[in-house]
Amino acid sequence: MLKLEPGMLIWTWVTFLFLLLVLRKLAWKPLLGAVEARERTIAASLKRANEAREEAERLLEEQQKRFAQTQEEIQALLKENKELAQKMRDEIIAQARADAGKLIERAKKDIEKERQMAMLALKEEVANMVVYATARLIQTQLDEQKHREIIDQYIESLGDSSNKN
Amino acid sequence: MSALFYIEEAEKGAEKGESLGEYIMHHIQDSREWNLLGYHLHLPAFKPIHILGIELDLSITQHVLMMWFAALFLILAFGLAFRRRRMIPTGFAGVLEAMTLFVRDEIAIPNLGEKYGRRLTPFLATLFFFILTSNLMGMIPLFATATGNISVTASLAIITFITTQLYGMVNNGVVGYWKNLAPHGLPAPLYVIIVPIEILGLFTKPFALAMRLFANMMAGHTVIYALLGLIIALGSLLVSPFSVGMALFISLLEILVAFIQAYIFTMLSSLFIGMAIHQEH
Repeated sequence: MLKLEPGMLIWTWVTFLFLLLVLRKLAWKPLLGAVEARERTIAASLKRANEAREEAERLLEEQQKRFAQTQEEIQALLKENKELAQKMRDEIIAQARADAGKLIERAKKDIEKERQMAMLALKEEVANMVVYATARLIQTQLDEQKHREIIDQYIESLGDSSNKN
Repeated sequence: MSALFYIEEAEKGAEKGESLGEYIMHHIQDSREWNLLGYHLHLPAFKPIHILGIELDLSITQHVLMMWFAALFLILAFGLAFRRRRMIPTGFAGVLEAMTLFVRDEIAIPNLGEKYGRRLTPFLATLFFFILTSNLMGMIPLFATATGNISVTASLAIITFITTQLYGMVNNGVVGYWKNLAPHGLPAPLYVIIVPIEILGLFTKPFALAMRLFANMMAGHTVIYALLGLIIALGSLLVSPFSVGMALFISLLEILVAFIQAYIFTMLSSLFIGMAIHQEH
């Protein structure tokens, strides 16, 4: 039973080698070829997917950076505008104040001038009235010219004393 | 069915004065005929040729026929499954592919490395499928287990042995391979012991390979026959539930063993080849 039979050995070798050669052509080449092709495809797909993901991540990061930058710019712009507006407001207010001051000054000056003019007119009127009244009072018609001078002098002194008050 | 037929045959044998033990051995051993349910198909026998003092009998025996059936089955199975090239296999082709990839990814590449693993996958896969089919054929009525024959397993082990030496020498150079068989840097007297041990080791590896497969395949069948033989030996039908039950259990175990032994033979073959290729002691 444990005797090796040379014939059997040879038949086994023949069968095995024949099977190896036939299966190599019939099975292992198509099978392993397909598997290797599949493995390559899967590896390539994975690589592509990875690359696409990385690209997407890169783009997203870029977009986010750009967005943040834009946001910053907007903030800066807003701040600048605010400052500008504040400045302009201040300027306008200052200008308005200055204008108002000037206007008041001018109005004051005008009022003073008007007052002086009124004063002058009043003086004349008073003088006339005094002349008239005096003339009427004393019933004498002096040289009007002379008369006038006297009155003027009087009024002048009167005016001075009134101004001093 | 085959069990009933077996009992019938054994009873006939007993009438002819053949003991049960002899009958069992006769049925496990190789024969020159194929027993087809009582019809004995005589296989072609040739006169032994004498070459170099060796008697070479190239007769077609039952086990040779079984090997041919196994080869034919594998060729048909793979041929039909892969007659159309597809990116993703379906059905039976998927099963064959999964098993082949198991051989490649779990047996060949871990033991032999990426380069030699891929190159030797066809050899190892053929070995695996051939042994597996031969093992399983013993479970089919009318068929016998060729791997239960020591000559067949020895022949396969010799193929592994030759492949091992060949790849060892191809990868490490003829001189380098033989020089590296024994570990370096040992005191000189030790080599007197180490060198013979290493040389012996070269031959014990395939010897163990052949014996393991042969013994496993033969033992299962012997146990099944012996269990069924109890019915005849004890001459009572009362033992038959026990015998048949146990025989069924052993048969199921045999299916498991068929797979395990095919795996172990392939695994150890690739391990030995890998050790010869990568000689780091």
